[in-house]
Amino acid sequence: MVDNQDWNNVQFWAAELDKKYPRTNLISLSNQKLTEMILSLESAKGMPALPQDKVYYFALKSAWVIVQHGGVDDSGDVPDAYI
Amino acid sequence: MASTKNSEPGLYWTPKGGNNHEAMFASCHNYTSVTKDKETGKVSKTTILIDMGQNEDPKDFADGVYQKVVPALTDCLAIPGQPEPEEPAAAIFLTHSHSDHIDAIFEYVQMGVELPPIYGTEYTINALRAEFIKRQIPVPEGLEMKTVEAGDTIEIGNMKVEALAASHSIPGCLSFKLSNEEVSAFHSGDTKSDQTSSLGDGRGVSLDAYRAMEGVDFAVWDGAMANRSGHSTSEAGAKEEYKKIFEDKANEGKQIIVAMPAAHSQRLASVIAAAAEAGKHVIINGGATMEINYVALGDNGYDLQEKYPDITIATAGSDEAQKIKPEDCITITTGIYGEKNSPFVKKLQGLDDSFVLRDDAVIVSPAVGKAVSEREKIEDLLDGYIEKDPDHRSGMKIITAETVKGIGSSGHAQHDDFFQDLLPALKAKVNVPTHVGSAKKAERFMQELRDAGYGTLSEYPRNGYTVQVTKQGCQIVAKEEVKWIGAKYSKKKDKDGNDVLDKQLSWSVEDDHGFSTGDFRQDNARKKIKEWQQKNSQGNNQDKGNNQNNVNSSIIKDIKRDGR
Repeated sequence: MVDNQDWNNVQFWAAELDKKYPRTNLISLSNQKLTEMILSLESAKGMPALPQDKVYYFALKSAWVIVQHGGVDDSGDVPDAYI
Repeated sequence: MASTKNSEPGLYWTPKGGNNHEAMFASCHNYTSVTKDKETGKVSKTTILIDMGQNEDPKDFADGVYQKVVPALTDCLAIPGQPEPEEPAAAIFLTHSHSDHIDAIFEYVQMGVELPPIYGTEYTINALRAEFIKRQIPVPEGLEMKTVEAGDTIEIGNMKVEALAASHSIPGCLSFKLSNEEVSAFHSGDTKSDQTSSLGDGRGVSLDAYRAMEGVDFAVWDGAMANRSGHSTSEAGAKEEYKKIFEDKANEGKQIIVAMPAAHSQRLASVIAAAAEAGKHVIINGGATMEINYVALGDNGYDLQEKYPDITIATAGSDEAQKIKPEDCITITTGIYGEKNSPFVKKLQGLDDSFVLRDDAVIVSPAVGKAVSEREKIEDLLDGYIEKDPDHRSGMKIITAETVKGIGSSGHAQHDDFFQDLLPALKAKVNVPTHVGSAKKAERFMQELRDAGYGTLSEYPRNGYTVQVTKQGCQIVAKEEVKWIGAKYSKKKDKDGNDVLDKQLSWSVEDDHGFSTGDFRQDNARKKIKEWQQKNSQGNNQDKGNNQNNVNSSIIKDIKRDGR
């Protein structure tokens, strides 16, 4: 278990998954498969139960996508009001 | 809204953000319903908010002191250190999940403000909840987030709120009809008049539903003054135009690149549908936000790969994408605004070579009309790319919505959509624009309403104005200066060494600075010039003089740009 981490720190867990599974495309995986992969992480040992909410997995996948783009979050590049 | 102005029965509308002088950001609206019991004379009041957006361009506000700026809702939310609200909001209704409509929620939660129940479609509520997680902001215990879908009616105090389908650039958008026993109002939210959706959920705008509301007393039209040539009125129409491009013999064997705004999920679905019908695979290579929005579609019941099993839809860099030849697929990307993180833009700038761009590429970039400056950005970038190596010129071509009509990508109704479809279907007694980008545009829209015989107000209601809606008519009954919440944020570095915002550190209530009613941007620029003059009058060498001229020119350019 990692100090000061909780499941909601999806940026941390996305980076951990990327380290352990560098060639796996997470966005096409089922939530069940993602659960197995997260729980296999060394840093997940001793953590409380993983959220079982589909929104959580979406947030995790979103964080993982940003990791794939070098940590660059481009969501503010174009104001939503323009779209 | 001042309590002195709302003791008479009616519906009261006060824009709290969005009706600015020269910017469209921060859509937020206070509606208060006042009824009086005919027998006892007892007055009942119910207040709701529609949308809680942020100012997406806060760099100039208050001289850039704050990193986040949102409407100060002191009259309807209990904000620490502020007087008790006069009419506490009983609910917040969200039209959709764009940041200029929802992001103030995150600021208020971090400020420790207790919010009333929030209503939105499942898509909107899911997006909101995911943002809480991504931003690592704990959802307060007791904060209710409830789903409401088109066709539902919610009763809040003395007010009835009916949800109607709206058609914008993302799924899950709503308009609302508000009514009490006397009067009614319609709030469009961001919408087009599109009655189709490439997402296949049958959730386009229903003009029949508009007709059923005929005679509604008041209508607030969001984003009502865009007028872009080449605009697509319907996503079904846009899909057909893209399909023609994809099937055009002249483009056979060539690489086809489609650029679009990263967050335009509806258009993403339309282009993928067109690709599927043309028998082309799809590679999504537009950066993180575009991929995240693709994932969001799949997570919310719009699995496009499942819908189009005969083609492969892959994200760039994936094993699946590596197997697809450029001429066999449509590459969907970003960059029509010259976005700095767009892989396509980076390729054109020579900053990143991973984006595959062939010399025979057909580039479809739907920036049009007033957005010609956007088109120029792509053209300038392409010119720069070709200049570096003229061989690139061999077969590359660009298609815009000026050359192929009907692929313009705005998610907002355009001038003709309003006057041909929406206004005649609803036939509201009084119509007002909101969130249109500038007071000048709003006033022009109102004049056109008058010329076409539609009712409107005599004056553009700025932020803080209150309109009373009664059976006798609508009138502005209060003009109050709004305030804003300015939040300071800690920063961290991304991998390129750029500052990115981290956590809210502090906040304060800030004056309007003419944001709603005056030329604050120009005032700000004049202030910068004055500061420059003072600074430079202290030195007198020639080099400094030359620098002065350069600085002065750039400031003048800024003023012109800001006066859009």
